[in-house]
Amino acid sequence: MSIARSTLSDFGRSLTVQGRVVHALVLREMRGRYGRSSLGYLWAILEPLLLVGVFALGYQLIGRRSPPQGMEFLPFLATGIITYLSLRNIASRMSGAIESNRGLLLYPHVTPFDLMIGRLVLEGATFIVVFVIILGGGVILGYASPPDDPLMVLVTLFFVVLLGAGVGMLQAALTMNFPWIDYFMKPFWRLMLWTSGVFFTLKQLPMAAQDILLWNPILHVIELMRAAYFPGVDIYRVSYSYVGWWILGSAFIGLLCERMFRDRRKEK
Amino acid sequence: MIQLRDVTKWYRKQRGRHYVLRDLNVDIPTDRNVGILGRNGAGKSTLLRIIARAEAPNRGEIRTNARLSWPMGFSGGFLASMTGVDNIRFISRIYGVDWQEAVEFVQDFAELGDYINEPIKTYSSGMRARIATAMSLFVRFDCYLIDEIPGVGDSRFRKRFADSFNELRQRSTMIMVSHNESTVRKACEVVFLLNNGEMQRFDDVDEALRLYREL
Repeated sequence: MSIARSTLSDFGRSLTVQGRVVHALVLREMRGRYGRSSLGYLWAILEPLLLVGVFALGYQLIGRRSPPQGMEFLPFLATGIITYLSLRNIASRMSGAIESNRGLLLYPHVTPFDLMIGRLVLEGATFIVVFVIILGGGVILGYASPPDDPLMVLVTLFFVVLLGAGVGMLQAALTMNFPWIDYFMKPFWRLMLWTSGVFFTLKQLPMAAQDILLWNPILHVIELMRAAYFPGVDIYRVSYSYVGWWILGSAFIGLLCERMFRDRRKEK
Repeated sequence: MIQLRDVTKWYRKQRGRHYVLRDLNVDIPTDRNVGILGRNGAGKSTLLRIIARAEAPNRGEIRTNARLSWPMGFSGGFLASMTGVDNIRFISRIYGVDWQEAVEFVQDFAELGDYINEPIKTYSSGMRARIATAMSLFVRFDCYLIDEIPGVGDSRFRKRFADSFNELRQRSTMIMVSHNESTVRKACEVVFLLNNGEMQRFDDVDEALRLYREL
């Protein structure tokens, strides 16, 4: 009885400590990521906005204006681009968390896991805020209609954050053991930009192409996001459970590798 | 008291594992000043980092009720790209102390002047040691883990450090890794000799030093 209680209070105490550590890390990462000026925060919104603008212009030039199934043009692009960019940011920032904060591992209660969680919290929050500001701005300015199913949009936003976390942990584990993988991350993410349904919908493709691209979980979240956002767009061949398995699987492998190869890391 | 039980630490080298510590079972007192002696590469610093929980052993566990400092004397622990104040803020937050008081104390103790608002990478090694020492004194630990006594800074700082350390000794102790025999003789009451992954305890400091010289 008393043992159970003390274990529980120990658990509570270590939870408080871990909360304090993550809080401190998030604040420190904000400094590192955005600097002291508010210009840094502005850039977080400007980067995806610029990309949306560039691709919108490109579409104008080649004369293709309306996406399928009656989706509005700008929110169609914005949902795809912001989701893709945020996934990439969450994953790559998380996988770089340990390398750039190595000095902080000196403190007993700062673990590699905390370093990654700190960045996940910051990047995830940034994603959701940027998403709301850009699409909300679009609604106010008349470029976009409000979301058809706000609750499912919110749910999908969380799925995106968690998928980014899983991929980030996997990427961290892989680059830790095979540093050359880093060279392939840039081309990999560029490939993902063109194969994740940022600029098209699954339905537009021939069956054979659909079957291949359906392996890509990023395509799933982008399609799910649009199904939640636009009225009259149904979920077609993609599913939350597939994304869920990816999240669980990649997080599991990532954490397993971290544990297995822990001793290699601190060799220096 | 710090209890090490079956503590084993190895690193992966080109040819298999290199054992630094092997099945170490030892009780290190925290109510007295302890020195750890050993040859270069005997694993003293690794041991200190494991005690401080900055590094996990491959096997075994470390038990203690004492509040231990981070391993001091390393250049690490501060993020070089962040300013002194930002680093103080971070450390204050993870140890749950008031950061504004911490900045005041550190500024008063380490006398960094305007440098406190500059990135740590612009500091001299003496300034880094001063800010780290000041910060650890502010957080107040039961036992300070020191890797080589900070012999940095000008004589004025050294005097201040010695003064505050003497004051500290009223309520705190230290575990010190050092090559300097006179420092160990002056400061330590118990000495552990680390050799081939094993630790031997000496309550007679002179005897330990004699054996250390023969290593």
